[in-house]
Amino acid sequence: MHEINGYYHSMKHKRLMVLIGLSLILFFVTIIGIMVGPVFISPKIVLKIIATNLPRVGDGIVQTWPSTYNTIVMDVRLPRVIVGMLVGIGLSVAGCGMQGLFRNPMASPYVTGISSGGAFGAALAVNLGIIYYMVPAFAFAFSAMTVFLVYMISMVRGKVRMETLLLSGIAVASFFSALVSLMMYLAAEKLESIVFWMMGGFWSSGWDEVTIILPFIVICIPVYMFLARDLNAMMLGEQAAGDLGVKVETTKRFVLVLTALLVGGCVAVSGTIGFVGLIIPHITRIIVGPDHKVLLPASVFTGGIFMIATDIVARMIIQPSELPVGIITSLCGVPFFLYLLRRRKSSMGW
Amino acid sequence: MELKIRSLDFGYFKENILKEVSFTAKSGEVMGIVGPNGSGKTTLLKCIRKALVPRKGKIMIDGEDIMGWERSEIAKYFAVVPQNTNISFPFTVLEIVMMGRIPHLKRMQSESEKDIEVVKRAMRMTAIDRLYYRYVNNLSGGEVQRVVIARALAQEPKILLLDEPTSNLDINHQFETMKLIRDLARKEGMIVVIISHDLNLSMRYCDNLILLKEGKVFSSGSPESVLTKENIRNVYGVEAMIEYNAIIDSNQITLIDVVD
Amino acid sequence: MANNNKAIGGLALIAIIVLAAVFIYDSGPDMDISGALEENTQFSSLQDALESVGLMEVLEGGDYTILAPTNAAFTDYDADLYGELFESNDSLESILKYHVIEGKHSVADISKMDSITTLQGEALEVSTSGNVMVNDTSISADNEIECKNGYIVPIGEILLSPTIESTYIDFSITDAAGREVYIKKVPERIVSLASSATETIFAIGAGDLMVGRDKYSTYPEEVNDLPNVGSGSSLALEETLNLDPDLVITWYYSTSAIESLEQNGITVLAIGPSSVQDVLDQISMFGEICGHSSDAEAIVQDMQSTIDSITSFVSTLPLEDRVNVYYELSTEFKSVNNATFTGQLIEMAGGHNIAGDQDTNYPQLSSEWIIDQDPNVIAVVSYGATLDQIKSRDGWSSIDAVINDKVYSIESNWVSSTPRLVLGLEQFAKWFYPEHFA
Repeated sequence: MHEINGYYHSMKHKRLMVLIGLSLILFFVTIIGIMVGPVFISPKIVLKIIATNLPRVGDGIVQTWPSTYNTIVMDVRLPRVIVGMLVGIGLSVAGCGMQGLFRNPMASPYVTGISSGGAFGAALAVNLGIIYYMVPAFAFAFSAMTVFLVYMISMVRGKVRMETLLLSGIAVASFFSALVSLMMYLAAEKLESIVFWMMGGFWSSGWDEVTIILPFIVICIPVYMFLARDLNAMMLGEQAAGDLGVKVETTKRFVLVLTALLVGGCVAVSGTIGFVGLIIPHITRIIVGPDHKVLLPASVFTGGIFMIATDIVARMIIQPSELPVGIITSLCGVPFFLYLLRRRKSSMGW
Repeated sequence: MELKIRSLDFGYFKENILKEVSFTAKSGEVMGIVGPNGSGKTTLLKCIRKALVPRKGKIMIDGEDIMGWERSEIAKYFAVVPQNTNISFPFTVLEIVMMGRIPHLKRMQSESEKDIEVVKRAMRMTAIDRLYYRYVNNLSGGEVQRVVIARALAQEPKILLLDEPTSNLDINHQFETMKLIRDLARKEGMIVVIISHDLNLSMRYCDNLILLKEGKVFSSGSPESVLTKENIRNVYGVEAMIEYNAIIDSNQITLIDVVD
Repeated sequence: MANNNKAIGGLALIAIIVLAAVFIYDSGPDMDISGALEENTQFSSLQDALESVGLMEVLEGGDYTILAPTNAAFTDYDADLYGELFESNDSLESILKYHVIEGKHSVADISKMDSITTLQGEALEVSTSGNVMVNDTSISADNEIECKNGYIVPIGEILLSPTIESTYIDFSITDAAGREVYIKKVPERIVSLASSATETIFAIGAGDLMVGRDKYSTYPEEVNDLPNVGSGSSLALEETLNLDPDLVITWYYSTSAIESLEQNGITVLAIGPSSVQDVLDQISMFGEICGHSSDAEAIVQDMQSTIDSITSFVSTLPLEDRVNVYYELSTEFKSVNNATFTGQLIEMAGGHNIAGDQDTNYPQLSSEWIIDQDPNVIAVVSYGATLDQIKSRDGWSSIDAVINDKVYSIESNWVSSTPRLVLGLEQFAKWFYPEHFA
């Protein structure tokens, strides 16, 4: 029987190791992301540039490179990589939450229609000629409103049935998609901006975007971690979870609100990037298992890694041109996921 | 410990599904709930633990009305083994049984050695300790059933509620489960409330029975006094023959035919 | 008896003299024009024609000179092109009248004139280079027939008035969609689904020929009064057919519109100018099609001289001295390469387009690459990012153009394939080389 103790502790140990390993990979991928770009800057110089900007460490370094390199590394690449990481984190954790809540592997963070609502908000703002820095605010406002709308539609006698939520999400998403099409039809010369916003990407992510999305991540992710056990229990079914003392309706509300905030923030900053919220939770689950206590932190790392990596590909593959990152996420994410699925199929059951 | 149910009423809409249900169950006893389909057995079990909120009535543990309790409090006293369990995610058996500790752990608190011991014991009692590393979605129905019982036991409940725990089991596992249930009552001092379709098992292993008909308590008391020919005919519409069997020291019910 | 012989001899002499005189003396033509025409078999077709329109009577009532097309002329003319004119009495009369001049004029008389106003109202051009030519067809005094009330001058071709010549353009071209297009006459009811064509047609003064336009044709102002029939990609077919157009102009890529219009028997001309020269050629083409060739040529000359003044300066600039230019479209960081129209204009104005060599026409660039290229001038299309937005982009404060505040916005129509491209070209030149093009 002592094997159980040993097993339990070794599992915990393994999980910790995996998390540390993933965090190291994230660290390296971040470094590569800062080093790599259409303008070739040698890794040594990149490190020196970063060091120069750190207090005291940078004092002794002599600048032997053109000052545009400073600008590129500190004002373009660094914030871009950070935004990529934060958006990857936001979308993948939100995806975990949605898949747990709906107990459906097909659930994505956009399943409540949030992306269509956000897209409409942005399209409307563009058409109305709203000043450029308010467009994300519009997107966020409409995302939040969409989730609220879907939730209110699905609430019956104080309770929300997940099937109803899913269906109303689909209906509301279709409605807003139609409105987006209308916006595009009326757009005339602004059409391209709308289409490009919808494709999603980090081409214009600077320190402003970091400031916008950072609070969302910093606040929502820890709260998500608090809900890990509740989410585990929810996987047993709402009845069983309730019988274990979990506040089911409250948990649902929390998860929906957190997801709305996270996804709303991500969509406002970088448009609708597909597949990340759907596939990263699955890939992470294959690596660490379905226990949210390890799944959520692991998704933070895998989400960040994936997003930074795909963004690197998006800006390097046809440099100095860029591809929308959403194309890379689907092209890379899906085959990798299928590969993992085939490899693990026997032992995993689903 | 005493669990007292007084004048419980419940309904979803205008009609009441349960009407004036009352009974008392004590520690060390196995209380059985029998009755035809639709008589309200599962609904009653849900009301007892406030999974459904009764319209009227009292649920008291040692005289204290639990109607005002949060479900997180209730989960420290009541554990449930539901009728069907379908877990499609690749949790290990150990992880599932561990979830039984949730009511006793604070939100961010990690499981301690004590928690592991409780879990181990629960798994030993249900004979699944060898399966700790197996994935729950790969197990047979009977094994899953035992995992769920183990999870319930891991909650260290004072009151154990079971809904048709033997309906999917092989006959040998049926015996083992009923014997376990009786041991839990006798040796662990739990109050056990069990819904069963199997009249003979109920007769043999329960200390007290409630016979429900159309949401009302038709008869309550010792199994012999509740499961009589007349009652069976009245409630089930079936003609039965009841004989005492010395070997099992219990009445044996033989169902003869449907009554017109 | 000798006296009788003298008398007879005298009478005979007089008789001979009188007879000779009679023979010598040309008492003048004894037939009038109609008679002469009737007599002469080679004018039978002309005669029929004149009678059918009642002109014969007119000719009998005064002095006229008629340039008479022979029967051969009546079979030789291009019936495919002009046939319909001969089928209507009104147009036939007009044609015939164009061959008639008031008064009696011989070929010699005619040869001394420059241009002669005909009965039809329009003039004939006379030229003498060896032969006497009327509207470039030769006439000869040897063939002229003098009549009592005029002259008949045979002519081997049917003469067509300048109005007819300019209306029947007989225009063939392979259009921008590779289609063979034939336009017989100057169109009177044009629908344009291509803003570039709309603008061109109005610029050459042929705007009155237009009866409909697409939603993107908004320049000049007057265009907005015309019915809007959708666009090349979503055409309001019924409305378009309702306008009864005799020519519809589309972009070469509006394949579905071209197809549906063709199916309804409408003549479609597809355009797709991709270079400055193409635009100039397009202006000339529409000049010809719309019968406004001289207006078109004037415009082309004007544009060409502006272009030349700029390109001649630019050719003196060494490559290293050319300003680096970054041009942005309506999407952030999206630029144009030199295969595009705008790219060509930038280069023509002496700028070096940093995205010029990119493989795709509209490359989506990286912010950091643009920073590295350090453009001296940044131009953005009018409905793209605002100048403030551009200047405040992360890291862009280090770009030369931002430092020197050489960030400009330009009308998209000034840099696309319309006659206004000269405005764009001039604007670019002023921005790139302000010292030279103040």
